Amino acid sequence: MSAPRFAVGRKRRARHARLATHLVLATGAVGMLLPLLWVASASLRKEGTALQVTEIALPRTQEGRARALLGSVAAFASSLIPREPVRVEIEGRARPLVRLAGGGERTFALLRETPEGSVVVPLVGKRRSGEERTVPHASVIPVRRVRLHWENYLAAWTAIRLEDFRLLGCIRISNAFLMYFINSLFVALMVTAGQVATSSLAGYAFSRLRFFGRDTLFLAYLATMMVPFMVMVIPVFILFKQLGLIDTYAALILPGIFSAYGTFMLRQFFLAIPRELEDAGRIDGCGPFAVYWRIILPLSKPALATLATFTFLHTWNDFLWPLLVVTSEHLKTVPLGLRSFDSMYAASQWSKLMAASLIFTLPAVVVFLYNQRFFIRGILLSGLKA
Amino acid sequence: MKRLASERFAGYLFILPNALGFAVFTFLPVLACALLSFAEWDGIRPISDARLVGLSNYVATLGWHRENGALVANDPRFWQSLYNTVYLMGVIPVSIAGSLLLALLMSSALRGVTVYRAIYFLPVVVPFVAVCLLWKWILNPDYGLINATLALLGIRGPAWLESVAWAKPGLMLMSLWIAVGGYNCVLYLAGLQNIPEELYEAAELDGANWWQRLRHVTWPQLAPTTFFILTMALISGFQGGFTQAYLMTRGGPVGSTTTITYYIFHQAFEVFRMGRAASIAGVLFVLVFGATLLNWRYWREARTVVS
Repeated sequence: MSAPRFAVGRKRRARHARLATHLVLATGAVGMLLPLLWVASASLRKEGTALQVTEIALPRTQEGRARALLGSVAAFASSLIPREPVRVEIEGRARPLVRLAGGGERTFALLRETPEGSVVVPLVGKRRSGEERTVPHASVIPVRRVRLHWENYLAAWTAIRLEDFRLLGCIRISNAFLMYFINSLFVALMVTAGQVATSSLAGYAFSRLRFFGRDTLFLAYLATMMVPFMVMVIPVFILFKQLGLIDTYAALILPGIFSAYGTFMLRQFFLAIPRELEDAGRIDGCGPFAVYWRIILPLSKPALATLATFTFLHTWNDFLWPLLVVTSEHLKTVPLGLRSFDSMYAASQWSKLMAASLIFTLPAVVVFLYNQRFFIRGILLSGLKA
Repeated sequence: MKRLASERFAGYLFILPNALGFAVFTFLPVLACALLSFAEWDGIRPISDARLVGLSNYVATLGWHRENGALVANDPRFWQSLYNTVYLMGVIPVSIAGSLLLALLMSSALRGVTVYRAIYFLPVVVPFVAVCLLWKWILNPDYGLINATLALLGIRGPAWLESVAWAKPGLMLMSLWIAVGGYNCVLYLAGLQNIPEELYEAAELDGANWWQRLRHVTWPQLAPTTFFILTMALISGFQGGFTQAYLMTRGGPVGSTTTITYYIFHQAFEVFRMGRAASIAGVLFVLVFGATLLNWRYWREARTVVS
């Protein structure tokens, strides 16, 4: 008799717990998305009309407080949608379109402000229909409509110009952001291809081939993995400077191609491949390279793809190294370009700054959402941190 | 025998490209940095003008001297940057706890986990330079999102990046936003999936409640994950803060967001004291190495406890 009731209670309790979990997670998710939504809202506003922080005095009673809080949250949420006052043409001049408090949906045009009150005239559609009248200032409510300034994005994209630059000596490119994009893509692809190639070759040698000094060398690789990048940055910078390679693609690409971490990760993965597969290849007369190319690589596609994804993103986002070795505008990568934009325009044009930042965020987000499952698997496979 | 010889040869050939790059861009630079830390050079004059100065760079960085009878650090800015770095690492426990909580919630939510995971992971995907530029405005005292949100609660927000007291907490808030649902949360989610269901069943038979199951089953089972996460967080924490400082605060106000890496950058590439910068990099190396060793020992102990 009591057992079923207990089961029902437990089921209901479990459902309540699940509902509470979803509530907490959803609230948190809104909190996580809010900065991005706010930024998107700012990027679509007319320049110079940023939302200002307005302080609200909360009532003292508990109930009034809760109501005021809900009201201000709603007002804040709706203020995230960019709205602008609407104007109508009356007798050849643009006048603000307004409503009157308690006047329902009827619209008026505000003609002028006088000490006695605001002079308004009723409208039907966009035409005046009726006599002017004077109403108290406080009862005038400006009509605001949603207006999204997508042109901020275009303005941001074309904000920086390259003077007199020709790609490969012939293709004229005057839009700097386009060039930053090309540079980032080129550098990231080269580094990724190079790193996958050298790391997989070395990883194969470390995992399967026997030669003198192998384990000592591997130990040296492992030992340098925890050396802070700042330790390497200074001498490598000096090296490139001595070689006269500052401000070249070589300086951007070369140091990224060789990675102890990539080698380590692929070695671990190769070790897990059954040796029998390799022996079968050997019996068929394959040399070490054929085994690597025909057996090991095809079996390691997930690991190679993981390494490639992380290397690509890491290079795409890298800031410090390009900052040190690149000075010419036409060699800058996207992060450096954003930084140029920030130092040139941030003080006055931050709608465009937000737009520029979002333009370069969007591709990464799309790639991530598209590859999400694989991306997550990649983290688990390697414990790799960007 | 012949096959072994050819295999040896092949081994060297396979390793050559990577080892060459490794030597030039990793191994030799580490040695060069060590050597440089005992030298004085501005990085502009020819390298032959560099001269060895013994330990004086380390003395200038770490040493103390007596001034009017009181002990004064030779380089207060170094100690300030070390303090700032450690202060900023204070977000690590909060962020790890947050990741664990999120992972626990997500693993019990059953439906919609992929959606939540994608949303919480999103900040990791946003290019870091963009994050910094955007957060500079999010933390703006007069127009920013954070103060607008605080205003809803009737709280007047601080000046964040413009104030000595609040600049670091502001940056920590940003770090928390990035890290809480990121890699650590994904690792915890995987760790949770690997805990055998029998352990929970046994605990339930023993009458363990929600908290006791968390305390005596989940937490010890996740110990290896936690230690891995902590190690990585400490290693990257000691090396952190450069991009934020460079893009958002220029290390200020009054040096309050200058971290060790930003200070190394400042010494090497803004005032051109390569030797001094190398010596600070050496100190950073020791710190990171220490963090790794410490964690490694704990990790080993934790593993023996679990198994």
